[in-house]
Amino acid sequence: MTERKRLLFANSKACQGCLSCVVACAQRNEGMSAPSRARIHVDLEPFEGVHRLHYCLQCKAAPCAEACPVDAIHFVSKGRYWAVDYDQCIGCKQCISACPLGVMFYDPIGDKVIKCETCQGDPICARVCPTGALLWGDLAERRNYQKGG
Amino acid sequence: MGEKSEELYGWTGKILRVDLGGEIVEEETAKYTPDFIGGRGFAAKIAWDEIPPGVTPFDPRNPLMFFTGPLTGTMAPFSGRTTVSSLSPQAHPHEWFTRAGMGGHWGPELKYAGYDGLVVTGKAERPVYLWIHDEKVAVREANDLWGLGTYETQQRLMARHGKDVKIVTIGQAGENLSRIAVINTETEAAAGQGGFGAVMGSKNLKAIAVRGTGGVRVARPEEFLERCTLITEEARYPNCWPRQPKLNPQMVAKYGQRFWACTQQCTARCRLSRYYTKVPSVVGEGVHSGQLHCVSPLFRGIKEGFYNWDLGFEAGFEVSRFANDYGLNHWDILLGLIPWLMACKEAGLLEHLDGLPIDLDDPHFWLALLKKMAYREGIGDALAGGGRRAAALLGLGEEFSDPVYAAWGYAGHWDGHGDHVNHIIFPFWLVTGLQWAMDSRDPLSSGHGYTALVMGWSPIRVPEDGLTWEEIMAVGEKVYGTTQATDPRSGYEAKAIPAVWHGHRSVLKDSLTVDDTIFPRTASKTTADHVARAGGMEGPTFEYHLFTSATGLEMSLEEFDWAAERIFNLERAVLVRNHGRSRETDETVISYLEREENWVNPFLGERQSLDRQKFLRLMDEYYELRGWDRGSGRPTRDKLDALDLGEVADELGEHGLLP
Repeated sequence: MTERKRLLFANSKACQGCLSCVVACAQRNEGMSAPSRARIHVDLEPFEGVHRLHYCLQCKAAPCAEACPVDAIHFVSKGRYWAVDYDQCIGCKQCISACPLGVMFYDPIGDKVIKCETCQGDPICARVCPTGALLWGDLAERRNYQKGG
Repeated sequence: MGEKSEELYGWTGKILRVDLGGEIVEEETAKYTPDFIGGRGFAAKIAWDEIPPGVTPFDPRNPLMFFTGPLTGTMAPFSGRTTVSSLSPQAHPHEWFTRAGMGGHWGPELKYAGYDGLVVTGKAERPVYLWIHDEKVAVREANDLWGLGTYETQQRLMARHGKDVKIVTIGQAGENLSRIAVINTETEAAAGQGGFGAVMGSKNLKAIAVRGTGGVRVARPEEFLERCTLITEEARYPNCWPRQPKLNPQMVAKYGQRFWACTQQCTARCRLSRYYTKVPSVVGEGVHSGQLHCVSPLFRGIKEGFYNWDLGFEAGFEVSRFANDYGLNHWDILLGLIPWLMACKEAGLLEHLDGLPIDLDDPHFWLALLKKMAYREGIGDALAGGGRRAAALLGLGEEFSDPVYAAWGYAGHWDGHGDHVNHIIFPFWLVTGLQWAMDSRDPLSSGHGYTALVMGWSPIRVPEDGLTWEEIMAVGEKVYGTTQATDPRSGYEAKAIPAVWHGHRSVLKDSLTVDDTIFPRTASKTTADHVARAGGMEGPTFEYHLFTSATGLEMSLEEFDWAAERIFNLERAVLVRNHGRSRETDETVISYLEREENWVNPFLGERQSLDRQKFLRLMDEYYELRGWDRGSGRPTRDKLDALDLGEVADELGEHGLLP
């Protein structure tokens, strides 16, 4: 059986701003409930009403990886995500500047760059999202999801 | 109590103390943990230790306390809340120590900045705001913010300090010391009741902006995640409420209606909370956006009923938005002040306010009224005291404020009398009546649990989607130990038990901190016996299981409940010592309940009113269950010793206040 190509999809309109995804991400990946250490960010918009979700789309040609002077960001085929090899990373943060979506983050407590690695193929953010604003699925599921299925 | 762990989990370990006339210092949270849990518990301890009798709300010595709890900022569902405690300018006739709860995202941010709580004392010479950026804490000039509404104040501080900053602020009402001024965050989350916005204003403190880049550690992460997941799953429709909340497609299209989390980690689509992104202004130009939850949908009026004005949705939304911006208390305006004004007008006592005709169908009237109150212009000076005080100050229609103000300067809420929205029948309002009698404020802020069970699931309110009376009685037996506590055919028997039980649940929620709409979990639609449970945890123990996983404390369920009772008793001791609280005070709620109830119990067929003698015996039962003296309504030496509050008993004894 071939592995399904699953990706993380977001529907900002369904996000009600509970930050469950953010807190769970940091808790799972860094062992701490700390939004500053999360690999998904939600810009709360209390006065406009539509929150904005920021997370890595796992680009085919990833500018972060291209910008890395020591090739510390590599693609993991099993799971289909870009991962940071901290043994190689020199902390230059060029990946942060290179990312057009602003989703290569800096963790001020761990003093390191961080990005979504899809929790190695089972992202906790989508699991805990109570409203379906985040979906971990393939393209067919995404189409169905956007139709409200 | 359980042993303290080497490292604190759940709590961050520090409390920030800001004296606006002096120093900024940090205090160890460990001074209060684990016994006082957090939130309301910490505040009660500080009130007992540091507020001497004679201090009044606007005295610089009055501490304005913002406390989170060990669950705030973690993955625990419904845990983003903050408890604000202080001496209350709204409370009447005693300006005593009480509390208010607040949602939003501010409390978690305070923890991420490294603080479990913030205690503000003193008074700044000029308007200031506090800027807390992790361990950097600064008192900044706020001359440019003073005079602004709560929305613009937050937007300016977000522009100055970054979008991620979370802010609590007062509007013009708080600056001008309105006794019903709120402390606001985002569009409609607020420490609403108590008049704490005026306490902040009296300190010349306009706002508190917080940015935290740290975090909270939990002791047993895997177990905690599992429990959070189980409880989140359980506390969803159809278990948390009988009808599935839905958006209205027309409201979605026309006004951008959407679901909205009132607080961080709210994982349910709420039946109460909605956000609107584009509601045209009726009085002015452009569009308004913001949240409507809880009481604010009532601004539009209900044509058929007690609140029978008709503003329509758009004007109602606009009025609500202005009340938020000025920082005025919705509940007091809608359930207290307006009903009193309506009755005064109907009786021919009052036709206009400073020449402005009283016309509740006209949004211009409402906006002018709010402005007068916020700026204390003309008659607004008296109205800014809230409906209870305004009636007394103006010597106007006090007989019309009595039927809507249940007690302590707070308008009725789920008591079957002054509150004409929340349908509750005899004998169930005997329990809420007792909750009112024993509290220092409207007890429903964290005390809906009983009404949610007996009315929220009842064949009266949800005939097709709820539970049968037999099922509600079976849940009542499990939770309270007797079917009589939830039997619609019962009378005064077994009504003290739920009043005591929910008193403790209220303490726990305000201390941990978790939301009142969801906790405690009692009824369920998906278990055979209709008692909530998940993964081997009984519904009413969910908070306990979250607390032990987060903190790692080896505390038994009995010890956890003991801690709640201890906090409840300490709060009572503060009221006894500082404000002379006694049984006589508690009994002042009786005359309010002696009026005829608003709805009819179908098993009785006619409206009931309180039987004074029977209620006095019910109060006896309540004091006995609490181990308090029946005659004085005060905690006894034995009770206080059993709660490890011997020093409190000693001090009450010195004041001659120990029974």
